[in-house]
Amino acid sequence: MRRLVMTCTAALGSAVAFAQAPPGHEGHEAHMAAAAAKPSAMRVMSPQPVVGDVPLVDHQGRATSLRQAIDTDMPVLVNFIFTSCTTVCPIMSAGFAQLHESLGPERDRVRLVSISIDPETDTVEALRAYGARYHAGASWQFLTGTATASEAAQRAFGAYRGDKNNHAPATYFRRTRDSPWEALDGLSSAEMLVRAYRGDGAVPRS
Amino acid sequence: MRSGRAPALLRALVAAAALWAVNPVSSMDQAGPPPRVLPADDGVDLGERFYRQGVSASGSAVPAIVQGDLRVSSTDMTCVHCHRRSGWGTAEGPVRVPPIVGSVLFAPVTRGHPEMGSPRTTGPGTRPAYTDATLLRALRDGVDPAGRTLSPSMPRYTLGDEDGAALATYLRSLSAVPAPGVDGATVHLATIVTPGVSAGRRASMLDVLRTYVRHKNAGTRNETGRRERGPWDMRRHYENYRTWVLHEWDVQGSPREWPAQLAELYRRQPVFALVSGLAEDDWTPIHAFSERLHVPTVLPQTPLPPATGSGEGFYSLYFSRGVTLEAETLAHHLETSARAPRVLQVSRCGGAGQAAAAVLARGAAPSATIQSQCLDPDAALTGAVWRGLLQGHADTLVLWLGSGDLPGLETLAAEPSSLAEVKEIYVSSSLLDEQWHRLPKALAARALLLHPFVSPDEFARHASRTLTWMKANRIDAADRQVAVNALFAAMLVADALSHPRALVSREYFLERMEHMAARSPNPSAYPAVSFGPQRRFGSSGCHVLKVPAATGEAFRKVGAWYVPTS
Repeated sequence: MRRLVMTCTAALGSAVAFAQAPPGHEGHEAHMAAAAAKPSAMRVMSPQPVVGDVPLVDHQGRATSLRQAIDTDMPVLVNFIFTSCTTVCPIMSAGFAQLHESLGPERDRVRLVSISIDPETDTVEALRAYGARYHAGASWQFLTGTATASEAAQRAFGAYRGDKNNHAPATYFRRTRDSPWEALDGLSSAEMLVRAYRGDGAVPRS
Repeated sequence: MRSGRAPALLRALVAAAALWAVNPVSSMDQAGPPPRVLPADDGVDLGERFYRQGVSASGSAVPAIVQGDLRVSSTDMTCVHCHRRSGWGTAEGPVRVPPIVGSVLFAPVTRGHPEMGSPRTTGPGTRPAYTDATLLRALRDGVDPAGRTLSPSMPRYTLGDEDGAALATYLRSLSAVPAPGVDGATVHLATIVTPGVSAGRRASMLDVLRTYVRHKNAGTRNETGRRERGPWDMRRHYENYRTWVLHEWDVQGSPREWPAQLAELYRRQPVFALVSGLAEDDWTPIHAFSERLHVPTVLPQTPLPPATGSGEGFYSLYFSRGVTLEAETLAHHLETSARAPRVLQVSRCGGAGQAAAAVLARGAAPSATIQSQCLDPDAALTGAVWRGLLQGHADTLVLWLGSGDLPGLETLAAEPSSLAEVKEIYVSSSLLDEQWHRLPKALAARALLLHPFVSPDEFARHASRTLTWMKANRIDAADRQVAVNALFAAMLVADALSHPRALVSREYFLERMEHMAARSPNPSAYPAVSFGPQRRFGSSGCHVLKVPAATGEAFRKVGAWYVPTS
C-alpha cells in the first residue's frame, strides 16, 4: 500500500511540474507523467527487435536494408529522427555526435544508425545535409526509404507512434551480434551514451 | 487486485492534476493583459534574431550545454526550435515545451481557480513572475524564479546581459497584440478564387465551405450560451467558440493586379485566416500577401504554389507542389525508361503549364531531346497548329494543358498521321482537373497521367467519409477532389481553432495544424498529408498512371509513388 501511495505521489508531482503546458496538451502531460515514473536505467528490450529485410537507402544514395545496416560485430546504436524535427532530434543527434567525438580513434569501432521517420521529406540529399551539420563520419549512417519501409523499421524496434509528431526519444543499443538489444528511453547525455557503449550497466539520468 | 487497480487510480490522479493545472493560465488570461503596441525598438529585432537564429548581439553563436553534458551552440538549438514561432511551446512525444510568451513568463504561475477560493501561490507547480534578471539566470544556469532546476533538455546558454535583455523585450512582444479578424463573438475567414476557375470547380469548393460553415454556426450545443453563462468549470470548453463569417474573395484581372485588391479587401474586413481557395495558375501573389500580413493560408488548391524551399515561408500550408512535382516525376520517369525519348511539350504561354515545361526541360536527362512550345493563351488548337507542332518527329508528347483545352485535344485526336510516331502522351492531372475521362479515345490509348493524388480508382473508397457527408448534404460536386480537399481544410481549421491559444496567436494556430494534419480523420484527395516546422507541402509524391483505353478498365500504376530526392 505504501508503495502505491508513493507511486501516486510521484506521478502527481510530475503532473504538477508540467502544469504550464500549452492548453490542449493535457494528454501529453499524462503521457509524460507515466514516462517520468519509469526507472531510468537501460532496459533489455522485450520483445527483442525482429529485424527483417526492410529496404532502405543511406545518405550516400546507396541501397541497403535494415538487416544490413546493423549486420556487424561492433556495438550498434540506433535512433529514429527526422530532419525537420526541432524538439528532440537535435538533442539526440548532438548526443551521437558527441559520443563519436569522445571516442576519438575508437569511433570507427561503433556503428551509429539514424533512421528517418519522415521519409517523404527526408530525401537522400536532406539526410546528407543533416549529417554534415553534425560532422557525421563514415561509421554514422542515416537511412530513409519509402513510408512503408520507415514504418516497418520503426515497428521492428517497437518505436512506431503513428505520427512523427508523437515521436518518442529513445536509443537502441546492441554490444555485439549475439548480445540482446537494450533501450535507453528518453533523451540521453553523452555520458549515458558512452556508458552504454562501454557496457557500464545501469545508467544514471543526468 | 490492488496492483491491478493502481494504474487506473494513478491515471485518475494524473488526469485530475492535469485538469487542475490548466486553469490558472486561463484565469490569468481572463484578467487579460492590456494589448500593447511595442515601440520599433532595437531590442525586439536583436531579441528576434537570437530567438529565431541563435545569433547574439555581437553577431556570433553562443555556446550552450544541453542534457547535462552535450555541447551545442545557440544556432543549432535556437529558441524557436522548441518554443516555436508563437512562443506558446509544443510537445513532441513525451517532451513538453512550456509557453514563454511575455504574458505567461512575466506573470506568476498559481494553482487553483478564483471560483474555488484564493489560488495557491507557493508549492509545487507555482512560480513567481520572471523578471529580466531571473530570465537571464534561467537561460544561463537553468534555474527558475522559484529556485527549481529546469529540465536538462532546456539548453543552458552562456548569454550576455545585452542578449538577455533583448530576448526579454522580444518575448514581451509575442502575442501582445490581438490577432486581427477575431472578436468576442465571431472569427472572420476568407476563401480566394482567382480568375479562370471554372464555375463547376468554384461551386464544388464553395458549396462545401458554405454548408460546413452553416452547420458550424448552427449552435446545436448552445455553445454561445455556454460560453457566456455556463458554470465556470464548463466555460473554458466553450470560450473559443466563435461564429464563423466566411468571406468569398474573387480577385480579378491579371496576377499583377491582385495585391492591391487583396490589400483593399483586407482593409475593409481583416480576416484571421484564408481557408482553402482555388486557382488555375500561379498562387505567388497570394502567398506574398499571406506572408507579409501574417495571414495564415490553409490549403489552397493551386497547380502552382510558389517554389519555396525548406524553411522559407511560414504562413501558407499547401497540399502539394502541383505541376512542379509532376514535371520532376516525369523527368525521373523518362530517365528510367530504356529509350532516349524525343519529347515535345506543349503549354499555354505564361501559365502553370509553361512553368512545368521549364522544370522538365531543366531536369530531364541528357539522353532526352526536349522541344518546348508554348501557345498564346487565346490561340485555338486547330489541326494546322498540331500538324505544325508535330512535324518535328517527337515520339513523346507532353500536354501541359488544362480542361479548357479538351476540345483542342479532340482536334489532335483527329490527326492520326501527325500522331503516327507518338508512342506516349503525358497529361497533367493538376491542370486537367478531374476531366481525364474526357480524353479522346485515340489519345487515351497511349496516355499516361501525372497524378499527385490518390489514384482515381481508389478515390471513392479513400474519400468515402467526405463523399457520404456530401451526399447527405445534397452536394453534387463537379470536381470531387476539390470538394473533398475543401472539407479537409475547413475541418483542420476548425480543429486547430478549438485550441484555446489558437485565436490569440496565428502562429500557434499554424503550429497546431502542423501537429494535427497527419492525424485528421478526414480524407483529402492525397494519400497522406503531413506538415512540420519547416514542411509546408503536405504531400510529396506523384503517381504515373496508365490511362484506361476503354471505360470500365482500371488505371495502372507505372512504377511506385515517386518522391523526388532533391
